[in-house]
Amino acid sequence: MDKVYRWMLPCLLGVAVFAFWMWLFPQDLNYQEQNQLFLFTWDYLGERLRLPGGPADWLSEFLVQFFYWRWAGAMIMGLLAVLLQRAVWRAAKHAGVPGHASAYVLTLIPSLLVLVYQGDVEVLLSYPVALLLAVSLCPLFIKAGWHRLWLLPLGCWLIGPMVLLPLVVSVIQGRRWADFAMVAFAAVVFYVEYRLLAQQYPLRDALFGLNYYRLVESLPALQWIIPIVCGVVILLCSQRFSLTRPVPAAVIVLLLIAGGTAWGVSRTYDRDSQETLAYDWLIRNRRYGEVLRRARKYQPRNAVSASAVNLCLFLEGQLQEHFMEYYQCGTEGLILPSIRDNLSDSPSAEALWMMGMPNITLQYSFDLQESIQNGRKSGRFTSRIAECNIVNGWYDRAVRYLDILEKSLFYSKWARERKRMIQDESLVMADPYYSYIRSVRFKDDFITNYNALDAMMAILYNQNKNNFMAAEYFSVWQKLKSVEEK
Amino acid sequence: MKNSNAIILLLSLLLLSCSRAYDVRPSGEGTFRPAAVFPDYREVTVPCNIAPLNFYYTDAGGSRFVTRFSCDGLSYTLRGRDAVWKEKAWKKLLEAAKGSDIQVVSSYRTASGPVSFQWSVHVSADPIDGYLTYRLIEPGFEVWDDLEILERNLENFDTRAISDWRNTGNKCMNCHIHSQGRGDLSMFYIRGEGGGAILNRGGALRKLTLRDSAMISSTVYGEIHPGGRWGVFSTNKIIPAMHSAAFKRMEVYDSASDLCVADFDGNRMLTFPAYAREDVFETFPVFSADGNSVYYCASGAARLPVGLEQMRYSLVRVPFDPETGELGGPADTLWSGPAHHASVCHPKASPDGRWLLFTVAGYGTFPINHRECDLYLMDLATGEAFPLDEVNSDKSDTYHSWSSSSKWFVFASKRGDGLYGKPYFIHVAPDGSTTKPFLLPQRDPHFYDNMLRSFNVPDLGDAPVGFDAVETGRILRDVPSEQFD
Repeated sequence: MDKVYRWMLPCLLGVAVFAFWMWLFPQDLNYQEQNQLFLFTWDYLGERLRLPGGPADWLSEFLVQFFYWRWAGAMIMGLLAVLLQRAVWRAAKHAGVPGHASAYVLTLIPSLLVLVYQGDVEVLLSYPVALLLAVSLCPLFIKAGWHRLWLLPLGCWLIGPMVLLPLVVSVIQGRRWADFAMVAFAAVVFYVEYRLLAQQYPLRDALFGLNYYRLVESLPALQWIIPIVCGVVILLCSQRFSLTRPVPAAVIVLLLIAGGTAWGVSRTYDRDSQETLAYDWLIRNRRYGEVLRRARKYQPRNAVSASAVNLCLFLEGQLQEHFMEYYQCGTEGLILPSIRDNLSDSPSAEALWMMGMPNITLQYSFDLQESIQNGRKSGRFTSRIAECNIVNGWYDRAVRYLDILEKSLFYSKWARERKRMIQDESLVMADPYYSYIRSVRFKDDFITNYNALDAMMAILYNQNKNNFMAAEYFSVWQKLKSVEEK
Repeated sequence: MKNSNAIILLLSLLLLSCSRAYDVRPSGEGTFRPAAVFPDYREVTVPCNIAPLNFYYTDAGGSRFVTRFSCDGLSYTLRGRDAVWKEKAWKKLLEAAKGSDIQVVSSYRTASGPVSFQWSVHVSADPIDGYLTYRLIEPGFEVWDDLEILERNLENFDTRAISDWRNTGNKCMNCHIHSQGRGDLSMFYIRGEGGGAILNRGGALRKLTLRDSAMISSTVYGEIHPGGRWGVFSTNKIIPAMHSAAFKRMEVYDSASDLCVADFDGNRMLTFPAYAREDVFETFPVFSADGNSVYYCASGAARLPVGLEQMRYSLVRVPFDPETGELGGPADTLWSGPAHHASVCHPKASPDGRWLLFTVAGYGTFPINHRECDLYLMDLATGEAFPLDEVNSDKSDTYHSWSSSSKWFVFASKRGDGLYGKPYFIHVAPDGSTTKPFLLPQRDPHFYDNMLRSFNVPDLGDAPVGFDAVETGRILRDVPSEQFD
């Protein structure tokens, strides 16, 4: 097989995957980043390492923090896809004789299947990282013979149950009956590691992998289908078979794979979810106009998108005049009530913060963070929680969150600045952002109630006539309420 | 690309080397680490069976820390900012110091010269119950995540889960309570679909639906009778809400509450018209030490939430018949909320029947969110109640529990940052005098700095409960809930 072809295909794959994340679905990168907070501490490392699959999880979380920069996230995704393809080919070469062009094309399948699977935003990067490491271990397992007796427990700790992939590939490739004893040994290893490291988890969760998927008690079909396909591809590519016209066959296979990927992506990347994620990402980056441009082309019919679009309409000075030109769903489309979800309340929390309700923003931000199902923290929400505490003058509490953020990579500088700021009250007051929120927030104490949010907006405006946001939201709330009542 | 494995391995090692060690919290006046050592174990009284008191020095500018402990001819020296004990050595010192003081000399260097100071730790001959259960929870609002109820061995650092999010599908769970500090008699709730009250009697678990059609809600607060057959509970409609102003955070209040009794042997709920009145809210019922009375808190109804600050609960005692489960008879108001312009919460009778410990807040029923709330002790022999000035802080102090000997109690305090509850222990002398609270020791003295969860309802037990989180998960999944009529 000529060198150009051998390098061209992974390069094309890398560029395609990079472009996919960079321009088509950058919001997914943002979602992954804002649902974890990687810390450079021994505790954080220790927490990961004491679970089966923890090292792969730690490595993936280290990588996900770079998703803070969209281009870095896209590059990491592209690189992982290429590394997986190369690892599959390398494993195939170790498993048998080098294949030909059409077989080489098959090595794209695992990377592209992972891409399809990642349309489910709850798939953690630990999954492709563990898969990559598992495939990379295949040559070692094939050659290792009885060394697998120690490689297997080590691999199980490194990448979790994904270690079954190199084991099964090596057993099938070896075609020795004695090898099948390794499968029984694997069962023993799993059980012992479970008892030693993961006893606090249900056995079923440990068997499916503790860190591959964000939601508990869930096992999407692709999670187990992909390693099987991976093993099949490795074994298929390692077989010597001859085709009379290998190049046209490779092209046909390539087209089939591309078509299959496009179909898969269209099935797993739900448009409404993706748009909603995109609005949240754009709001985080203060690209309000872009939200409106996207919404004019297509707006999901849900309250989250409505609240995001309404916030952007206000910030672009168009709320009063143009809100009825966009999808509305009553007052919930202006500000959502607090719900158990790690995304939906995000635009509402942003609006409440800007309007001068730091206590309710604190609640929303806390609830958003608490709703991350695998128990991770969020740099974005932790920052906002710290800010709410700063605005309220609860500096001791703010310090706790700033301390945490200080141990991260991308929030560290911000946290250090805030820590310096709260040492000197005049610096807090000199901050235009915080002093503004302080100037517009409630002056009197009362028990808040979502159903009386319009009355609370009226109080805010009456307290401070510069609080145009409260006035406009109040006005639109009334209009939406009257529409609802009709 | 051939060396991709090696590259990944190298990358991992590089990343490992990036990990930083913890630094030390700011200390001194105006911070929440005002003392020279954290946790502040200076001049505290500890039980003779407590785990090692590991601590660190808060002076960020200090170096060459040396701590010398001595008692009765025994002497130990710990070097370094973190004073961390080997368990064997600590036990030896503790044994030698039983009933007397451990003298401590701390010394270190700073830029302005050497610093040295002396302090002591009194080791009480009274042991404390060996086990502490508590719920770990983020001090959040309406959404919870990763809840777990843990049991900590107070004689060392062993901790195990007796219920956790992993085995319960991330369900909400309420705190675990022992009956008079008994490890073999306790209960807690798992809320949501398939949940119920999990009753532990002698290690055998039952899942119960403690509700009948006459009740306004499922049972909420309560306690198990010392005999094990009965439970007294309140049923509460609980409303969480936020304050608007900067100086307050969250409020949780009842919009209705009644009392009821559960018969665990007959699977019956007993409700009483006298304790189900709409114009009176009753809550936090507990049994007296002899099981012949029930203490609870009661307030007249008000228009809520506007009249919330008028909700001032009084402490009331009413007879209880352990033969029939009947609650009723002449009620005594032991401490009047309206008369003191305050509200009583969480009464807890000491197992010897001598004391009643309760929380006093400005108003309402959720003192953990009230920084003004303080602990009060009532001498049940005289009826005199007094605030525990030695114990109380300027932050919330509540969720208390007695040791089975009645000589120690534990409570959750938000002292410090005002947000995260931590368990503190107090010794109570026969005359009711108390000692300076000391914080639950941890293996890592920086534990509390990095902890982002509150210790909720710490509860003492004289023995480990006979189940774990896996067993709880099995009960939750596989055992149908017993219905109460």
